[in-house]
Amino acid sequence: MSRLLYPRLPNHFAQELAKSFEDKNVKELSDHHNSSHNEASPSSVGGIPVNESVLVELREKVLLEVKSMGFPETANNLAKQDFDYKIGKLLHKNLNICIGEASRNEVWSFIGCVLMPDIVSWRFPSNQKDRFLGGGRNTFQRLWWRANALYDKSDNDPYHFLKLPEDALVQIMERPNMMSNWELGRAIAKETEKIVQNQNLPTPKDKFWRDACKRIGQRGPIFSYISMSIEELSILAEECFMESLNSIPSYFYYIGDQKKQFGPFSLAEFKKAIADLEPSKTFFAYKGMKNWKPLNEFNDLS
Amino acid sequence: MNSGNISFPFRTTTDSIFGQINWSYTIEENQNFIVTESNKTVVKDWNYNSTIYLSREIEVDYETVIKDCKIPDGTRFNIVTSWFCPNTKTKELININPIQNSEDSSVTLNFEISSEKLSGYFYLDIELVLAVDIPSIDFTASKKTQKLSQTRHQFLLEGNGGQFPTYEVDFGHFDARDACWHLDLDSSDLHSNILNCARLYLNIDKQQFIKDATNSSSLISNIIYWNTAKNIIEAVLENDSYFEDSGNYPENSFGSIADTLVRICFPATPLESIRNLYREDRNKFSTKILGTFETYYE
Repeated sequence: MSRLLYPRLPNHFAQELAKSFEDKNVKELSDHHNSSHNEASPSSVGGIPVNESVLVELREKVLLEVKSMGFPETANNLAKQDFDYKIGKLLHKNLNICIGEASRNEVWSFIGCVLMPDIVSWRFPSNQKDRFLGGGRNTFQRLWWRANALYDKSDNDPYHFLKLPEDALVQIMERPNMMSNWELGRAIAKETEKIVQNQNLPTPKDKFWRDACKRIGQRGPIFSYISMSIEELSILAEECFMESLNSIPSYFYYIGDQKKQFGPFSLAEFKKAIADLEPSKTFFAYKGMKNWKPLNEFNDLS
Repeated sequence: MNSGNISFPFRTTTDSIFGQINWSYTIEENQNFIVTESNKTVVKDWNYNSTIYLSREIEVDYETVIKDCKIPDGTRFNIVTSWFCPNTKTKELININPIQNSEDSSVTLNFEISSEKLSGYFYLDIELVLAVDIPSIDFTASKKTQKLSQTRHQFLLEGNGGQFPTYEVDFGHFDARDACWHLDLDSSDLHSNILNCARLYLNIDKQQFIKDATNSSSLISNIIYWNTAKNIIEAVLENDSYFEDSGNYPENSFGSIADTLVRICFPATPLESIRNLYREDRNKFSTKILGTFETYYE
């Protein structure tokens, strides 16, 4: 099936439009949307120029989804998370765009500034220009790229990684040298998902995936990630995440009725420190935990 | 233990071990391949329908690798070839070829990259890596996939990566109907790819000018280069963060292009001195940049 070519809105015109949106609300921008623009046209080669009716249909599909999330009423955080997952999935399934075309910021400027400016404003009510303009922060561009890079064909829901916290997705996606190896990106996403789902971990958890991504990035110049198998990449990601869990000081303990508490320790230091202590007389806690627990309830994460 | 900007924690070797034969390419199937001359090649006439066909013979100098990396004779290595296109955020493996001795240390690569995966420019990377874990002695590589050497070739896809995106537009929008060109620079993020930060608009009513401006050997295109370079350098000199990060920007970012232009236009001059010249004698500053570009014909 031939890939579609979308209208490209040159940056100068996109900038002008985005600037004019600064003080407009969702309703006003709904009146402003269009499926064409005098200055926007698709590339002349490389695929089939998209028909305007396809653009109208795309907008309608997105509208249907966002209306189920409360559009045009103010979006709460849950609706915003829902938006990122559902619209990422919808765009990836429906755009039929090749990555070469999807790398053109002008394409996303058209979608953000012309086709769906009201939806941008609903998702990002501050109407910052970069949410309309093509680029890494464009409302739709970031979602399509996440869906494309983290598509997990081994899972019943291949888009499940889009449900990861925003900060985790940014860590993965905004390291182009690393993420361009999509298998590695998925291996990191998988480990991040484990962290998110693990209830027995100190909070906030963002420090773990941030630290782990740094560790993976630091090894990049030394190891040839591209020549590693999926299994080897999974082991690498797992090792780096474990190193992060082991190195970030988050654990405390106290003994018997002594009032003095010890810590914070990293997981590795903590395990060493408690090795000779009497589990029934020692209590532990980690950051984010509400009450102290007896040491014999300690869940060894490794 | 250095390779380019990377300090390796073990012994490595130079990229000359990959042999003297360069990459060859063509964008038309069954046509003669063009042999590249440096590590940066402009692919002319490329467009989104153009599959690019590539070829190279790699002959690894096994003895030198063993000697430089102080690794036991008979160690198995892999020659890993891959391509990477930052704009399409895609990196793909082309080939892994094992070698174990000097008799069996060459590989001939023939492959193609589909146009739909490319945009702007891409790199071909060759790495020599350990194929197995070996005991580590005296700062030698020991883990499978550790890199012993690497080399990179950049291909600029003309019309995209070879120059900034260029548009022919109605200059009524700029309220300057008689102007010939307009350079739109966004220097807010010096880490961004220059292709996303710069746009050149040409006046659609001035067709002869467009013809001259798009001919890279014309006088007018050199004047545009000068004007562009001047604007880029001025933009970074106005930006304090540039002074902190200069020399450390990602390849092809606004900052790294500015670094290169500054080096070319003001060789061996400290940044502070260039900024002082810019602030105190704007005309001399501009003339120095002008002197770098061929804006006249003998």
